[in-house]
Amino acid sequence: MITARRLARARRHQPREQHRGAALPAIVADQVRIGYGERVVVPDLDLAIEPGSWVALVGPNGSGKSTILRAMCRLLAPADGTVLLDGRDVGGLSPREVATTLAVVSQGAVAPAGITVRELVTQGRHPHRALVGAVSAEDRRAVAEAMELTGIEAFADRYVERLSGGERQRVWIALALAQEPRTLLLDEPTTFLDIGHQVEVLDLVAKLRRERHLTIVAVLHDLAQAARYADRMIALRAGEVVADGPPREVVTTALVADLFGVHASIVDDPVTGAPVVLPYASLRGSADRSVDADVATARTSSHGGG
Amino acid sequence: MGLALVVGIELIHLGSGTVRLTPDEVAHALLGRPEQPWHEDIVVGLRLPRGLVAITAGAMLGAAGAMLQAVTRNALADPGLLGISSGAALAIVLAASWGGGGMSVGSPWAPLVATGGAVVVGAVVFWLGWRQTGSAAGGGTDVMVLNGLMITASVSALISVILTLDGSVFGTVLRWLVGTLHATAWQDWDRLWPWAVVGLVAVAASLRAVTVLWAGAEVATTVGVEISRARMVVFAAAAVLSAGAVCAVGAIAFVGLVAAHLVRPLVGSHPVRLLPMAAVAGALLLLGADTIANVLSFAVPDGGIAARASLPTGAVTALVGGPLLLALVLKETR
Repeated sequence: MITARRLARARRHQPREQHRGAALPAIVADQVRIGYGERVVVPDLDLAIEPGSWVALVGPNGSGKSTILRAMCRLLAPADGTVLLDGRDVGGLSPREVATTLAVVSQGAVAPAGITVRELVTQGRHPHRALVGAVSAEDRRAVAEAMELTGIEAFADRYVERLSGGERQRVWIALALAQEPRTLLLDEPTTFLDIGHQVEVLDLVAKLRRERHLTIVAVLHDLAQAARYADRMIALRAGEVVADGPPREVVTTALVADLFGVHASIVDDPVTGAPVVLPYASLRGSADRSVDADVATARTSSHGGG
Repeated sequence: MGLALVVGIELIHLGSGTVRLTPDEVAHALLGRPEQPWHEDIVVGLRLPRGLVAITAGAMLGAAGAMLQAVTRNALADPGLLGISSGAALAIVLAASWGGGGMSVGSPWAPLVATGGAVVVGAVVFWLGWRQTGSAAGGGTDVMVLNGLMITASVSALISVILTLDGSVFGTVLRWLVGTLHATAWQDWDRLWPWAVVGLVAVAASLRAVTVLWAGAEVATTVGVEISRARMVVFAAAAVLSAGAVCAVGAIAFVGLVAAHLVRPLVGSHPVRLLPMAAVAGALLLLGADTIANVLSFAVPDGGIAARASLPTGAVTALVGGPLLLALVLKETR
């Protein structure tokens, strides 16, 4: 029994060592076209995500960020092209194989009433478990470790519905960790949180990336947060990559205007040095008047008042 | 404790009928030391199969109801509500109408036919949700329940039409449509138990899928469970359970719905705990209802219904279950 389990464990860890040596990309999208039926959302995507990197997908609503995440985790089959996960074609992998390589923290997940934190996190062991049979010692260890890493052991036996939004988000991340994945996909993990909890969750993800050598792909709404935490930003518009690189290169006034239709100042955060976007006027509906003039006036008057 | 209750009620149940026996007399008859030789004939030969069928069918309905409530995350889900029971009933009425006497409710093939009907009608509900919402999960919970209600109403109307057109099946099928355990014999038990075993295996095999689906679509997504396929597996298991039960006792309402509600405050909503307890509660409910039906039938001194047939068990479950459901809904919506 023990030998078999040890063997299985060794086998599971093997590819990790291999890919660290060979530096195989965690995720590759090769000429991928994704859509829902007739509607093409992402026409042609080429992408390689390095293992251990934190990639932020940014862009306006409907730009295809979440669609790309769905294709990466096999939820959506690409109409064309291939997605490779650790060098293997996602289409040829079983859902279990995908789930032990990659975990997803969805947006706005709701736990059922009457499930405890530990019970919910234990669901993450599903891809590792046989069809029938009790929770193994190995499962319990992984669950305990995931709860410890996310700092939720204190309320392991409380009902998920009784927790605050920030605590709950940590529970969802713990569930993903219990899968023991190599890549974590996060779909707007901070959307329903106040800024305190937003930073807490992003700090947690950064810590996990360091300690667990996870590859992080996150859809983030807040450009400043994306720039602060990610080491690579991919900006999307209508399913096409319009900018791709380190945050300092991607976040420009031209890009913000192009993507979101706003005029913005970009300043450096005095503490972290990350670019911070300060939008000051919308480009939309301002075709027949000079925004710059308006803003200039506003500035002058506010200066005058001060 | 639940099992002790089942045994206790069964002793009362076995004692009720035309010849009234005390639980003590029943126990002696069961243990092979009857106080009167004919006690054993009555208890073991005539009444025990009825009790066993009530317990087993009740457990099957209870488990099916709990399963459906868990995977749809809807506290009102029930084999009756999602069209599964009515599908089973329609298949049997159709078979009885076309196949004549050979294909009646008592046929050994009835459970299979009923399961077929349950699966087909259940699949229609599922497909409708998929068509309306485009979601592979068969639509959201509310959509699915609404579709189930609509299909159930249509199927019930269809059954009425068939019964009106074909008077020959009316007599044999009607009482069963109301749901009764009257005149249940050992043959009924022989037909039911293999189906219960199939159902038990189906429940065990789908318990993990039930739990993941209960935990939610987001969980299913990340842990690699295909929602539409998992739902179909669970629905098929629920169809097997419901159809088997419907064949044995008729379309008895509310047991599947109420059983899960009764035990949820005691053991919580986690399917691993809820399913077995809902099965026990279902057994208790059906057995209790049948005991009440039995006692009431023979409480009437003479004439009335007791002279012809006993009170249908389904009437008791509906009488008790209806208001109970109403109370539950009021409590939940507060």
